[in-house]
Amino acid sequence: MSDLVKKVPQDLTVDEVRIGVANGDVPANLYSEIPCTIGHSYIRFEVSGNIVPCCIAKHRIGDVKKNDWRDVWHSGAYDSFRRKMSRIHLDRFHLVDPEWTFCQQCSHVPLNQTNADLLRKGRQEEP
Amino acid sequence: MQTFNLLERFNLRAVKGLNFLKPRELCYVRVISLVDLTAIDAGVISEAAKHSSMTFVSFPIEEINQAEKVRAVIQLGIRGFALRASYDDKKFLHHDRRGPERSGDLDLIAKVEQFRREYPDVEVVVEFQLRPDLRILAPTIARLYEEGMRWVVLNAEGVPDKLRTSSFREVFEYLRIRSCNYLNVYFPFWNPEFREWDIKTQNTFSGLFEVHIDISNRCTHSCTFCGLYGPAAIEDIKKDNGGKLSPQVNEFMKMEIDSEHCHRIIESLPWSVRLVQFGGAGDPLMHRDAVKFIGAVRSRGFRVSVLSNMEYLGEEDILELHRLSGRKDELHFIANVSAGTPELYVETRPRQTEKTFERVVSVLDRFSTLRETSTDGRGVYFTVMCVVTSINCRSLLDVAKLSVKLRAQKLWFKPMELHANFQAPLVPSGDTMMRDMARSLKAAADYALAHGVELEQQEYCDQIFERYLGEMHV
Repeated sequence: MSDLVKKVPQDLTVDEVRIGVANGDVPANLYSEIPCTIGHSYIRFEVSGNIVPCCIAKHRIGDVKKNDWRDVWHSGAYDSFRRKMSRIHLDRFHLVDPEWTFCQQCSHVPLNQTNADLLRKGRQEEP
Repeated sequence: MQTFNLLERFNLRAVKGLNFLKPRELCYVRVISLVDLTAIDAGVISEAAKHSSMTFVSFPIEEINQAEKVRAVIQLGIRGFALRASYDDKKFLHHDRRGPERSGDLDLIAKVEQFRREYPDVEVVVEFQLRPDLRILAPTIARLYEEGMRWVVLNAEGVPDKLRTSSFREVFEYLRIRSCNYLNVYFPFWNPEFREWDIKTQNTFSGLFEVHIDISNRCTHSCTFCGLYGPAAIEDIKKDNGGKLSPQVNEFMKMEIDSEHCHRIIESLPWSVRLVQFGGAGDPLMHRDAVKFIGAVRSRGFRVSVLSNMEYLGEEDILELHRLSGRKDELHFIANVSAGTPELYVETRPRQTEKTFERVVSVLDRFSTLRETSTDGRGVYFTVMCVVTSINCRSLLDVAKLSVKLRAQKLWFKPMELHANFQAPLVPSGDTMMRDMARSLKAAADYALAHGVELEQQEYCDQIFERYLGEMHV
């Protein structure tokens, strides 16, 4: 039902990807370079009880009425979402797969950018 | 970029520099030995308590029998202790029926249990030193978890860099297999960027950072830019169902979160959380328990942000919310006003009258007055939000003037296409309109900044200026 609220246009071409419109000079091809780590930092609970791993995701993982949300947070389904998003810059599924085009409307760019900077820095420090 | 100081979280070897702490953060006072506790006086403890939601005093687990000293610390107002574990490989050899892979350090587990029995009213955390020998560490944590322990601290000091991340991962892997799902695992890091470690080590036990809870889909406004209640959106939804709203849509519009569920979520959030945002497809303040939810989150010490049209608050609610606020923007409203004058407000919200505008203005003004006159420095802060549409894009200066008049902390111009991107007629377009909008936005931004109101997402404004005004002035 919540899909009523967030309708994502499906007909955007790669050139029109609007990532960065809200966030200034973030390049439009942002998720060609950095992974999405939203699954580690964020969770959303909908009115109906659905648990959503990202505020614009269409995916519903679990229901607070049926499960403790912490079980959902640690579940295999949530982990596979995390794994999928950690490969967004490699697989670039958000540009081709209609199931995932919502990522083009990302509103978590600053958070992901911060996390990516942290990870990059950590990688340099590691021997 | 937002950065976090390690003092916010753990490893407060020296209690100096407490002012770096954001108020109501978790605070961890680490002392080398219980003997040194004399060095911690009431002044230090009260300073730590002022800045933190929970203060822990840590000491080696061997010293738990020094009851006098422990009581002295409790009398100083401390309700949390961190016991620093040390292991003995030989003791581990006396494993129980579970076998060496599941037993852990039985002697250590017994000591923790003893301490928890003796001081049932205090929160106990065990601080472990990470070590490659998982046969002791991970099963011990899992056993403690099964005994009711909900917190552990993992320290990696002295572990070679190469092994750190992989060792943490192994521990978490083991804890997941043993279903320790409600455990909170913290790192007393030298590294100030603890999120890096949460992600790198896949620490989903405590890594949660930002929580959005949708509490109500109900709303009495019909903002033109709304994706659910806006006239264009309603028409769009009706079109799919032969000209009327389907029962499912009607039901969706009435939905509210169950209060019990919401309270349960708030109570079970880990302490790593920084921000809880209340929202919904409607207006969160339509929920009759909205203020209670805000109170519950504030009592956990988390920052709260609420996205609302700000119409529904009475004087009692305002006073209560002011009481629940903190000194540093810990209760923040994002007020979707989207107009600077009553006329434009009504044009943007066809079902409202100018009285609603006056009501919203008076609520926001009241918050600012309470904040400015408060003797203890606390107060509710708010952002005036303006969805930039083809209706208001030429009158943005009025919005800036209103936010200055209301003493808003921030002003947020949000592009229509990102708010609800399917209502094409409302998205400003065409060269003339875009240039008018850029001029209006420039005037508004300059006015707000000159009067001390920050701009949220200023990059958006800069981009518009560059694209439309840059060309004109070059």
